[in-house]
Amino acid sequence: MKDEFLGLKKNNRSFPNRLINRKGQFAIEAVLLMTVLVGLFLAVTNMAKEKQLVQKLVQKPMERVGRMAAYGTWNEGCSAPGKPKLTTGKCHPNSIARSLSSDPN
Amino acid sequence: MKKRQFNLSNQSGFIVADFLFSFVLVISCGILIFGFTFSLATVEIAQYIVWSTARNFAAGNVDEQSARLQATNKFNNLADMFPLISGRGANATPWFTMTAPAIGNLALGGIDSDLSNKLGSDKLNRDPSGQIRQPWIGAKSDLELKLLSGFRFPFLGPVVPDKTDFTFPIRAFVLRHPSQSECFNFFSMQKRYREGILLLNQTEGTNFNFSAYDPNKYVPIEDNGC
Repeated sequence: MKDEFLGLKKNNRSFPNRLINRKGQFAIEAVLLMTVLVGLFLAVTNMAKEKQLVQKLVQKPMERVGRMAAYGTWNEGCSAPGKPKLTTGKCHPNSIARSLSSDPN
Repeated sequence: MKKRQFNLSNQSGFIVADFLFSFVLVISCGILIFGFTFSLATVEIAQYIVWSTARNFAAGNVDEQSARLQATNKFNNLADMFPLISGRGANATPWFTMTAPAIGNLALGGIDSDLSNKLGSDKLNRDPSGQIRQPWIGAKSDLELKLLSGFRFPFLGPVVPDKTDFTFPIRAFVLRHPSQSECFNFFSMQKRYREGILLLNQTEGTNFNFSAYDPNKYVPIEDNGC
């Protein structure tokens, strides 16, 4: 049977073309993609961690709210134009000098 | 034996991975936003509790100690109504905690050392002319945002590196009305007559000498009672 003339028909059984089988390519590409994506993810999270993005997102506003609840001011210190900066304790509205209506000066 | 066929065109499982990824992302963001907004709302309720305490201390009473007791009762009643915020009671699940209130002139007497230190030398809150403005009378309680400070995200770390940053004082200042005992004291012989009327001829430059009269004849009279 081996000497049988096959004509134009390919003898796949005798010389199997293994390149036709691409079943492994998906697995290799998946591993490559996963490596790139995981690396990218780790790089982004490391950057976010170093720059403390989440901490700034939450901590800063809460600190400002805390200052307002505690000392009546949003900021760390306060100052009027041409006057020295006051400490946080003195920024409370209770510290503002008011004038009596009977003695406006 | 038939070989199992691996069909690449079947993508039915992809939605599961996609769903899981988006689910984790959305839930994480949701938890953060929930913790943040819940904490902000809690600050507002805590402020009301402290302000209500200060208001009870401000109202006239028999004496200052009675007013302080009344204010403490008010704080305890309100704090017991919000166990989630105050961390009090048997069934409390403290997402937040509030310390026992400090009541009185917070700048003096070591009641509130934090405010006292931050005020520097001007504990009496004097204006440039030396007059005492509204003193720092009121109430204070420390609020700890345990819920928010306990958050820790994978790969991103804790929401706050130092948990004490999310513990801050809540203060309310309401000037206290004179108490009954202070009213009696104000109209007493000593205060009203000896330290007041009797000195008028010296301080006001009058020629009328009150000291020539028997001080026991002084009768305290005021309009509205104490």
